[in-house]
Amino acid sequence: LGTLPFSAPHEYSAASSVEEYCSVPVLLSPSQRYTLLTELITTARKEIGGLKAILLRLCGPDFQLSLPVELLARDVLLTYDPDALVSRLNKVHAGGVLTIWQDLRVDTCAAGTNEISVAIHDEDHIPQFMRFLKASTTIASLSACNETVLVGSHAVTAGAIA
Amino acid sequence: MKSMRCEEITVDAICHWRMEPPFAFDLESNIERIDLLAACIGAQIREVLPAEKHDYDLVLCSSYLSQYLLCDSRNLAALMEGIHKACDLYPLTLVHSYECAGWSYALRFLADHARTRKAILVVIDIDIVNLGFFLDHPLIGKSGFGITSILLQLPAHGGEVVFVDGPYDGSGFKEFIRAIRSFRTEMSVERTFLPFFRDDLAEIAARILGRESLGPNLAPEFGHCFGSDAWIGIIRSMAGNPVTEPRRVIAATLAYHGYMGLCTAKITKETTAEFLAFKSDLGTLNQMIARKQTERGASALAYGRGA
Repeated sequence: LGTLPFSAPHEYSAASSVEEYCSVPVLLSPSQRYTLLTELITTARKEIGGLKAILLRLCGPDFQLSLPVELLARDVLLTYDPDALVSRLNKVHAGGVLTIWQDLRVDTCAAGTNEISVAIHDEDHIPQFMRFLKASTTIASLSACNETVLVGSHAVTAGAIA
Repeated sequence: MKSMRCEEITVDAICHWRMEPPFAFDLESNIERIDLLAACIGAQIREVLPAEKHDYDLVLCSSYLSQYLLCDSRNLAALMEGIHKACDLYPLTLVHSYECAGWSYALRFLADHARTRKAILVVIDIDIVNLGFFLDHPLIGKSGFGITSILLQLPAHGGEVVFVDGPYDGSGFKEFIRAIRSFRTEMSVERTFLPFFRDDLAEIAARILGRESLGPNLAPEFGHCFGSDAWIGIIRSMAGNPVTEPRRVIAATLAYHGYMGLCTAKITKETTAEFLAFKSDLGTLNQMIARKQTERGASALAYGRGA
């Protein structure tokens, strides 16, 4: 388990309490993950007109590496749970909300599934969303891509980096 | 140069609980600690909420909150549901990636997507698994842990309420000071509340920005308290100097990687403030939660050491 330097005995047991076995391989470095997420966001902005918000799942800070400026942009919110905010935002904007859920393992002690799910949450933006899917080099590199149509929502789910 | 002009927010209440680590060391499991933390956060939110029911947007912000625990959706749900149970408000979300500037980015988001003018930002910096690294960081110095709730009103006519910038190399101290100087040319304020810096950085800030124009640097007393510093400084300034006329102050925050946030906060005589400091053992925390339940509705300024 690679984490912050420990200096007290109890820290080893504390760290082991959050450690979990994860057989999913680490395929990306932290900076590669940021590059990949930046590509998704910049391509989405280019292909989907009228985006009001991009909600990206990113958990705690990486104290070894700063966030790229694109991820700090005004239309992006970095949050633990993008989907939880969709209904709130749709009440204000009536559409134009893109969610990017990612669980990419990077070379830290965090577990992950190496999956990415992107979704648009209103009917009007679906054609542009489809163009975004075709244009994104990240989406093109996914080993498996399952497209899902939900009511009022269109998503590509469980695309995995392999 | 782009205008940095921002609309002011009105602060209705600020509450900081300084919670000495270790956090609930006497509990056996992390999920029990998460439940207890949720109860503490909920108790503090109740403390700042007015007695009459309102519709508030609640966002949680953190620099340091045992991220490997909360990446697990079950633990995150336990935290969110525990807060909801304790205060009857369900948090919209938790932001954590912005380090100490989290509250400023959350404020930008709330203002840009305002559904209601009323919001609560809760800054949470508690190490649930009690690691030691941030107790005394080699660059930052000693840290202070705790929870801060800020009950605020966004401007009625909308508009930008916070200037954010970054990232910058070297923690962006130089760019931060410059940004404050520029911000103050556009906003007329009484004082500026900075993060609590080590003595050397605090001295540079005082010389450039003017010592009298700054809130106290409480690093020697409290250490660096992540995103809570400016708000603790504002509480302290209110404790010694009751508000009779509205005051406009800058709350400023700077993160390790140079993300920064500046906003103008209006403090009025109706603004309530509380600072309590206590240990984080199970008995003390349960006493605090019970005490706050019985005190619910009390909103007088309190400043002192708690249970």
